Amino acid sequence: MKNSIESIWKEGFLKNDALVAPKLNDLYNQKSIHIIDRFKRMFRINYTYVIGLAFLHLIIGWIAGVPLIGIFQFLLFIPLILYSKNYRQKMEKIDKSLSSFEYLKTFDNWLKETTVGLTKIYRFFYPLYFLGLILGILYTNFFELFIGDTLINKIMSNPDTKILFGLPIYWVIPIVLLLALLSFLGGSIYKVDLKAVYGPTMNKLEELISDMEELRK
Amino acid sequence: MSSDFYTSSILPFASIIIKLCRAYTDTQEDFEDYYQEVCLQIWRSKDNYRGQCEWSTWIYRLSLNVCLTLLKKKKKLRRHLDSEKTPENLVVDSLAFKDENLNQLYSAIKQLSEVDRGVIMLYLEEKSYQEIAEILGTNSNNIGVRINRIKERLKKILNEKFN
Repeated sequence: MKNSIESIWKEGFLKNDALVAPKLNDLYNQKSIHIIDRFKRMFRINYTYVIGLAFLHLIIGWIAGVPLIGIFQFLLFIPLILYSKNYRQKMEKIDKSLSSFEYLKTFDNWLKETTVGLTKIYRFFYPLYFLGLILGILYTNFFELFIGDTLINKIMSNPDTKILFGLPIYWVIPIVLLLALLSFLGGSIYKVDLKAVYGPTMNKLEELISDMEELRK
Repeated sequence: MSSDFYTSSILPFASIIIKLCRAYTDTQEDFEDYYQEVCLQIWRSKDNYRGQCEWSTWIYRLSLNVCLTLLKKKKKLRRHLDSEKTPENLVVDSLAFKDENLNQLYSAIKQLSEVDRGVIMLYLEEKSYQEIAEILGTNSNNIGVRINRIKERLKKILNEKFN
């Protein structure tokens, strides 16, 4: 080496072509693909998990001696599964040849639509699931518990129990109120659940879209 | 990122970013990724710049941090690859510049440790020892000694490899 490193450095960078900045138009492509792939992966895992959970309720219902309740719980999961399946297919159909921004926006719209639909389903799911759970506990004969028989006998034999249309009214009203509350809060509970699972990825998606919107100004 | 911000606040200092990114990447594809990531981080962190140092110094610091972080991520990824095989996309881009001597110098710089690469780049950019220490978050006392050692090492590599 004849020259010192300082002179190589200086002379090398005197040439015009040495410092050409790359274009920034492809800036978000990799980020978009990465974030949406992560979403898809999570959605697939969640979908499989819901199917597994549905079958688990069938098995638990059978083991606990309340097969009808098990079937009821299983059937509750069906709309969830069908809805998710339909939207999963829509998700897979999102055109990957779109620009990063359009791809992200389409995916974001898909996510919002899915969330709205699932929120509606969960408004029915949570109270009915809770009802199934209560009935399951009451009528299980697991370990010969017979909680339901014991409890109903105790309530009905109590002279203070107020009966209306053959039902112990002070026991039924709180349950109905709780079911109504669960129906009312069903959507919110789902959103909390959604944030716990997808929250960080959803935030990144929003951040990326707002970055790109600003870039397009 | 608005194009105004890019044109007025990043582009005039693009040479800094290019020089640094070249020192930490082996391929044109990686170089472009690093460059874009640095630009994005500058834009995202611009509100954190409070004028405590020169804008160029701040850009140096941020670029160096981003490059080191990306390099760390890449190393993690490479650990998962079979070390026996060299994937096609990892073929070293040894002709980043038309100036042959500059390419050789970069090739030698890339053989230094990650921090030493940063030190020598800042030195070659004529930053004072104090500034180098500030950018790297170290003490300025032994920067001079370290630079001399790095220069010796570079000369040795260049002589062995290219003479």
